[in-house]
Amino acid sequence: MPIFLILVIAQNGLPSSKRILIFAGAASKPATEEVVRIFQEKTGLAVDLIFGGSGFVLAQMKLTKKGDLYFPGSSDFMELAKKEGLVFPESEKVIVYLIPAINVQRGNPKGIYSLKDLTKDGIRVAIGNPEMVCVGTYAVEIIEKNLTPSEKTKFKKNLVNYTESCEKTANVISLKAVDAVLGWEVFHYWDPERIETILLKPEEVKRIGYIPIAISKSTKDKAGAQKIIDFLLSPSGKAIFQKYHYLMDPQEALRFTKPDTPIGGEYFLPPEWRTKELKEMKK
Amino acid sequence: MEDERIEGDEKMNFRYTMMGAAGSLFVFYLGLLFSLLCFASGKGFLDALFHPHTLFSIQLSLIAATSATFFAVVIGLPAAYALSRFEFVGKRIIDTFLEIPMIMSPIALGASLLIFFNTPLGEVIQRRGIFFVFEVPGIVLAQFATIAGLSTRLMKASLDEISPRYETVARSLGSSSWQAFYKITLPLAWRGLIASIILSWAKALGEFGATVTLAGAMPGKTETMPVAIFTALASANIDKTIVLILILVVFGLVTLYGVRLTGGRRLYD
Amino acid sequence: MIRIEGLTILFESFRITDLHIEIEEGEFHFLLGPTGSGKTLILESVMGLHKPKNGKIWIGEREVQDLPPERRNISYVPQDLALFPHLRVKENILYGIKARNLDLKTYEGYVQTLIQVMKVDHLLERYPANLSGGEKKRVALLRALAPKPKLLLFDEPLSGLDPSIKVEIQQLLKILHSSFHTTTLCVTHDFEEAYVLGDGITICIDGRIEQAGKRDDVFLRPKSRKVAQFLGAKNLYRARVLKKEESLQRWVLGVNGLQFSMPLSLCRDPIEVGKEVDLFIRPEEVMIIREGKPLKDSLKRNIFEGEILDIIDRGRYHMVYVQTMQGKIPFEISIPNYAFRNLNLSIGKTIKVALREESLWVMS
Repeated sequence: MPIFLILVIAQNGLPSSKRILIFAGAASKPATEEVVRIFQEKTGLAVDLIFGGSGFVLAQMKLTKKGDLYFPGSSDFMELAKKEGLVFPESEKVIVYLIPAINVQRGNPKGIYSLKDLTKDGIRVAIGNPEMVCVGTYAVEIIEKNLTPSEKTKFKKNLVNYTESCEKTANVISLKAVDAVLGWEVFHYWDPERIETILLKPEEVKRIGYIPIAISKSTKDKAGAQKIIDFLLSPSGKAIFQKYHYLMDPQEALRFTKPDTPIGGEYFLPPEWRTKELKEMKK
Repeated sequence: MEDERIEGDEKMNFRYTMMGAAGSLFVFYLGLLFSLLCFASGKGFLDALFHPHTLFSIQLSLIAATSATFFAVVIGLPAAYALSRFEFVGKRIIDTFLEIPMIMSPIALGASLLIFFNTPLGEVIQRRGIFFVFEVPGIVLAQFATIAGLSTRLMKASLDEISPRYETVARSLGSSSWQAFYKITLPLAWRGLIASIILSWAKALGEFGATVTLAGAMPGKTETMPVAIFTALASANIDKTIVLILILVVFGLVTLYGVRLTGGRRLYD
Repeated sequence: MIRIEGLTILFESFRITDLHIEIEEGEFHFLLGPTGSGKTLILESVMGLHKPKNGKIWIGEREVQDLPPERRNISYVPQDLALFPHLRVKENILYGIKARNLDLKTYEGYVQTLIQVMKVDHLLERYPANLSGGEKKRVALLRALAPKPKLLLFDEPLSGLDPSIKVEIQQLLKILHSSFHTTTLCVTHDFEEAYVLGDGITICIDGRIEQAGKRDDVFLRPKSRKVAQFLGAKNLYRARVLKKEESLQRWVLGVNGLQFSMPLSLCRDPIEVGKEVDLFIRPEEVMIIREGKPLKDSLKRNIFEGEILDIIDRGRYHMVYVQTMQGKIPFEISIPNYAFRNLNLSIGKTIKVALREESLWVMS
């Protein structure tokens, strides 16, 4: 608590030094940190990063009424930020694309090679909490639209946890807490020693995800914030993300899916997946 | 006459300063709660208040904290007795080890437990015995791990207050070691022990890091109140966050106060 | 009968080896020794709190060294009494009987008698916190006696008491002992306590038994200078054996030129002419001669002239400090008040002292 106060005071105490503040989802931390470092070297502008769960940092941005950019781990939270009027909708840009996939422990000890394999007896599966983690919502859509009702029931029986953030979804594989998750294809690169990605069949991928960025309405330096967005979209910026195995343009993404798969957009979560009913389902 | 007055002023100064410190702590925490109340808006507030999930989380929190405290006492009280009364090889090491949960951040503790269940021994326990990872027993285990060291230490301190001489006399008069403990030491240490237990229970109730890491944040299954608060904040749902915080605080304080009222009556009057 | 054989205790810096103590049935026995001599450790070993390295302990017919304290049929009154604060006086007293599952009815009469003797019947419903120091002592004694133990263990029973209460409790202990004859082992550093109450005494200094025996034996006939000094022997002198008078059957000893004469029969240790010995006589056994009063035979042989250096009023008796003219030997003389009044003494006065020869004691 005292440290938080000191940070706030410190930030308040430096209004003149033009520092740009980005509230970022932790999902893209390594790539984002490098990009920002290079940006600072190139332009000499100072940038501060606050990482955390996408929703968590949104709450912080909301409560402190500070920040120049919001860079969540997925589109859902950007939709929420737009709905609450916390960002300029027209400033939103897509930075990278994400493909949902199955992630298993390295070596695939439980032999999971397809979506249907997730319904096998004795498999422990986790997905992101669909109400707050977008990779979770995507997972639900994939289950709903690809499995038969009996397969769905079997899947739900194997579902042991809703993870509370994007990184946690990858973590539970690294920590071997579950056998498989429905996460992003890029998880493998986050922890190659421990996470393997099993790609879904192209027709199984119902939606392509993306990581957006937008300018926060509490910004005091719109031009500076725009500079960062421009840098992220520039070839040098893109090259850095590519280094971290993110997919940089729609064409790359569509290679994993069918040509008419939508990018982003909203999926209406069926009520049964809402947390309150899940308990009854498991009974 | 003047000396008396000055001394009187000094005394009052001292008194006011000390009391002022106590008062400002109270104002500090009260202020926090107040700001929560002010920030909350009507609709989201009521929604979250009467959500069945909230009730579930409250129940789960109370049951888990009580269970964890129960186990902490069952193991901790004999351990505290041994540390208090006996001399043995390795006593100081064990005593220092009790500080581990206090040094380790809760998330570190939870991650260690998670990793343990990946070892061959951990897997055997889960397969043959109880499943802890992402299950309710995991909550109890995580909370137990967090509070066990502290509660043992506190109970040891309470037992230290009671002279071993009483047990010696009781034994010379014919009581076995067990009887001496039960009839003499335990009643005499009662108030201190109760205070230790209450403190441990409160800590278990508010435990978050280890719980969420080991037992997960499954609403309707393993979502205790602190976990629910985090989840609400992580969904940027400020209203729900505030409501849950207030509910946790109210429930916690009411329970603590109630126990203090009833537990405190076991005195020798 | 309590017997301790070959008790060896090695604990921290204490080394107690091969201890032998025998206490007869009904005897009030004192284990006397300076503070830090290991007495409490011995007590704890007898109790069973401390496991000795070696040795056997018998309480009555039973060999108890391997039994835990609760099975040895003893009672223990520690120095700080340790009355159970959360139990009433009544419950404290009955604790031993209940703990041993004894039939309350059989003991009722006995306990009632004890309560009357100790005068605590108006305190039964109180809690120990509301008792005075003396009352606490009485309740502690009661608690120890109630279950009729085979052995009663005291640790410094009279320490920390106001002098008036000390006398009261001392009386109480005497009465209790003569009424109920509980075998008692009492540990203390206060030799006056041991003198008033003790039947038998064992003196333990630095972990070694220096002397054991009946009270008078030990006090009047200490075996060594160490023991004598511990027992507060005041008139203790280094003497040389000058000659042996065969015809009179007496030894003549010299201290600084002053000659003492004592019968051969009183010298237990073997001594010979030329040897250096310790000579000692208790202050109570030195008389100041009143002119004109007839003298007993035992006093006639050792009369010396001396000057009174100091007189100290000790309340119940007076201490008179005298130095002999010849040899300048200091004597401490203890005179009870009734005798003192008849003597008309003052500092500087020259008087004659007579030593009771049976009370002369020689240690080699």
